[in-house]
Amino acid sequence: MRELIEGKHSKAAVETAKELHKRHPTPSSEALLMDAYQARIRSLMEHGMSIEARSLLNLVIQRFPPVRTRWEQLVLEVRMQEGNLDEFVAPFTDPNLDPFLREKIETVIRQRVFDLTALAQVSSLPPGHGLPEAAKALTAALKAVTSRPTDEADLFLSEVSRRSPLGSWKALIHAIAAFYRRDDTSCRRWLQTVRSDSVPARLVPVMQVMLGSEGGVSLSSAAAQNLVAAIGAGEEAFRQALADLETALAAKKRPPILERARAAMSACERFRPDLRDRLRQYISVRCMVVGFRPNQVRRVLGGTPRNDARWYQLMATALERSGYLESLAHSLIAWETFRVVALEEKWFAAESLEDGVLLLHMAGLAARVPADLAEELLQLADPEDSVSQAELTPRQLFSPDVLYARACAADPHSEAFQFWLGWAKKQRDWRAADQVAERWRQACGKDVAPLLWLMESSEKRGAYQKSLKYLHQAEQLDRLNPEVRKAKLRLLLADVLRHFRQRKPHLAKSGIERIESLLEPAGSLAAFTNALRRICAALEKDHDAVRRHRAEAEGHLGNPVAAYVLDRGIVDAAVLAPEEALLTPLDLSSHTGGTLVKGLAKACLLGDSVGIPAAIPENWKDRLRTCCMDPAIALDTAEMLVLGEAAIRSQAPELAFAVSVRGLARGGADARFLFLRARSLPPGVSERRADCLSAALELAHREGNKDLAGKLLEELRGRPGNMFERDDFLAPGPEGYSMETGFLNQVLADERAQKQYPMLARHVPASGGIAGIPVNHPRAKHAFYEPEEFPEEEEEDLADFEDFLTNLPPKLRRELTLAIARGASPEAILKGILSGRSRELESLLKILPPELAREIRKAIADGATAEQVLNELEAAVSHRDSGKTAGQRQMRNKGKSEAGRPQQGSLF
Amino acid sequence: MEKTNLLPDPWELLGVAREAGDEQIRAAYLRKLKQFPPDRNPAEFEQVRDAYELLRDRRQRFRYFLFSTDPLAPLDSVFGSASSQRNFVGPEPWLEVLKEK
Repeated sequence: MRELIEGKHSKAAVETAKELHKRHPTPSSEALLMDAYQARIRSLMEHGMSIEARSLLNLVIQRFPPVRTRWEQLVLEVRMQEGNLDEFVAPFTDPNLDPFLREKIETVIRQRVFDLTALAQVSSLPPGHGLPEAAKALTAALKAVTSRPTDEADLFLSEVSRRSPLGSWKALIHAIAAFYRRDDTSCRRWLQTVRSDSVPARLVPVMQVMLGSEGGVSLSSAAAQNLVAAIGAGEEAFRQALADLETALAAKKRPPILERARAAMSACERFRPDLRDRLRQYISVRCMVVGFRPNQVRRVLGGTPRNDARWYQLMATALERSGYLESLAHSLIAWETFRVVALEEKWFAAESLEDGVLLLHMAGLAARVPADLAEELLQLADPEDSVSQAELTPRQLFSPDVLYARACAADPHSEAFQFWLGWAKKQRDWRAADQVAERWRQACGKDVAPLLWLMESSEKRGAYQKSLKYLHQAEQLDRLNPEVRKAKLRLLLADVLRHFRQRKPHLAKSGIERIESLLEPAGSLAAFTNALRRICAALEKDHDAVRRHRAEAEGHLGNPVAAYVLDRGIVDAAVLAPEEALLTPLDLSSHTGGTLVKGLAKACLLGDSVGIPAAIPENWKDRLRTCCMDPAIALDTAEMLVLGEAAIRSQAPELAFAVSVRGLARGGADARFLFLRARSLPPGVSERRADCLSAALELAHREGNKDLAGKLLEELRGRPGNMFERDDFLAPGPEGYSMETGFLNQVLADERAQKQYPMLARHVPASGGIAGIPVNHPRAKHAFYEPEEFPEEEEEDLADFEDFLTNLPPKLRRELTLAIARGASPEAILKGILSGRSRELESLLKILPPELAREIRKAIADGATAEQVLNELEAAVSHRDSGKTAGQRQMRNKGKSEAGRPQQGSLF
Repeated sequence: MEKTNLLPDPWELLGVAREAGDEQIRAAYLRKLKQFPPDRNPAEFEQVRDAYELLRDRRQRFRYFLFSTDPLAPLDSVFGSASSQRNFVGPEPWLEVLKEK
């Protein structure tokens, strides 16, 4: 019987109880029957059958009169259900109302009355009675708080006492007002004061959902869902769920990520089902970035993300920005998939301008993917496989040339061709670049840039007449273009230098005249033509003319050192012996430090402007370094920068470092001096170098210095122009190259504080820092070598490892660097290789990182013998015995092969 | 990573549809310039000018469209630029919930 009642089977309960009471009438059976009747009456009321409930109630009272007193509350509830509030509250007019009955009525009002307007209008109570007055005030207040912003002070509601059956309404109204004021704390506090059995309590779970409380109940009722949707507060709960997921993603803790991703998707389903597909895509990409596999995430997302163009766009962008070379290659594949799907979805048409924009971007990515990595990926696919005509085959996809060609065909414009030519110039075959330039000419007939390249290319191959033809065409297009004038000067100068080399001063003279007519020289430019004429005179052994031109040049420059450096630059460029050019070494002791530094800076500035970058003589470097550190010698920023560049060009890292010390201390051009600092650092401090470059890049971006930013990006992407030519693999981490202000300031402060040229790893100071950075410093955490992992006695080996790494073949070096980036220990690799001399190759392969071992196996498969591989490794390691670093070796080798001939940039 | 700096949507800022062409965008830009002259509203003027630079021609527009998506942007960027609101809806929807037992 009890089970029937509790199970809401009240009708069956009544029938069974009646039957039982009929057969065995006892007080217990009667009590049971009454309970069954009571349950039945309440059930009828719940179903809105108030007439049936009233009839049954009357019938029971008629047959069992004693229950009338026991069922007073039920009687009141039935009366309430009928909607006759007048009759219901009429007993309040009796001043002698039984307190027990009063309490019963008040309970029913608290638990059942939801229509405050009706309560405010009851006629059975005298005017001014507290109950309708309270209902009236609450009705007005509810309207106010749900229609406009209200202050707490406006909701005093003195008509409603705390003990009133409507007390919880007052709390609800305060909660709603606080909710709209976005004072969620107050709102929650007010909700806690709402009695759980009162009518207002029905809104409490709904409001908790709107407040974004965790574990909020689901909104199964249509009215609740409508309310949340109308207010738009569900979105807030949804945002909270997303914020929780964001926190978990930032912490990279896997279980909370999955749990919160599920909660976020659930909130999305409830409040913004229209965003489901989009959110699923975003979450899956974010999860991919923190290392989840797609199938791990699919379940919590409630399905696979929709594989539309937008999805591939997100995926490609995320992969591209991760900064790892492998991801870069995969992003290229994702961009191609995006392109194909976008074409299907008609975002744009094949071979349209938009297609060209995308292909140009893909070409840039393909150019950054190392060839061996592209080959590896191509081996996994059929290189010629493609599904549709618009789709690229895998081989085409990894060919920058094909991509650039398609991009330029789809959207032929100067910038696209400029990128293509830039790439082609770096290829070994000069014809590639010339072909690109020809196509550029055909597509954009008014551009001078392809002509200038063709001119330069012809000139490099010695086709002087051809290069003059291109120059002529460029002049016809735009004679006043500074680039054309610069190219003309370069060409004329190259002609003069060629005649110097051929010892034909009479021919050089006519070239000098043409240069004079182009430049209309005055001041320092006149000094330049004087210097050219001086060499002519020297070749003709006309000593008087030599002296005269030298004196004139010194007069124009106002500094004998500057005149000497300029002469020396031209002599070097013409590959003449100094004696032949009647150029005697400068006596340094006869010039002050100021004259020396200022003269050099002046000559370098002039040399840069005319395309003859000056070199610093070897025996000047120490003196110059001392002078640069001397605060008594005033140097402006331009002078310091030009000196720094000359030092880099002349393989003088310590001088470049000294210039950067002075420049950083002065401030005002931090990006450029950090760039200089980065390039001056020795091998073995890759992380510090990367920090300097990243900081400089961040500053260059902030200054809007695109030119410098471009150079820095090139450097960071492993195409360094620095003297050591290391770090050919320096891909950024997932955070890219950007740098937060705090870290940027830290790098700047650290670098400003560093006044001494850093020693290599083997000379790490006793404090245990890396390249001058203390081990407990935040920057040390990013260091390539963690000092904790490599105790002091291993330092020698680490330096050896640097050597070893530098001397490996590029492919092996890359694999080894990758292995280290993935967590392999350099110490273990080095030890393995050093102790592997007497072992068989297979034993060695077991201790090497799998990637490196695979590369060696590949080399063997390509025909290398085990002996050769072992010898190569041994030879690489044995270089360490020379006691020189790779950088020093490279410098020394360069010095030998190019003795007396400084690097000439792109001039020759 | 982006390390997101959510810029205002340039189409929204200029008040043009996504499909708008060069001419429409230029006209909208000129209208906005009148509304925000640089001497009186320098900040707004800069925003309008930046937005126009992004959408100036078809190539620029597509570049912006293609590369402005940030997969690492805060997840609530799925909502777009509109911030969450709590709309005043009057007492009726609230009372509807109270009627339900």
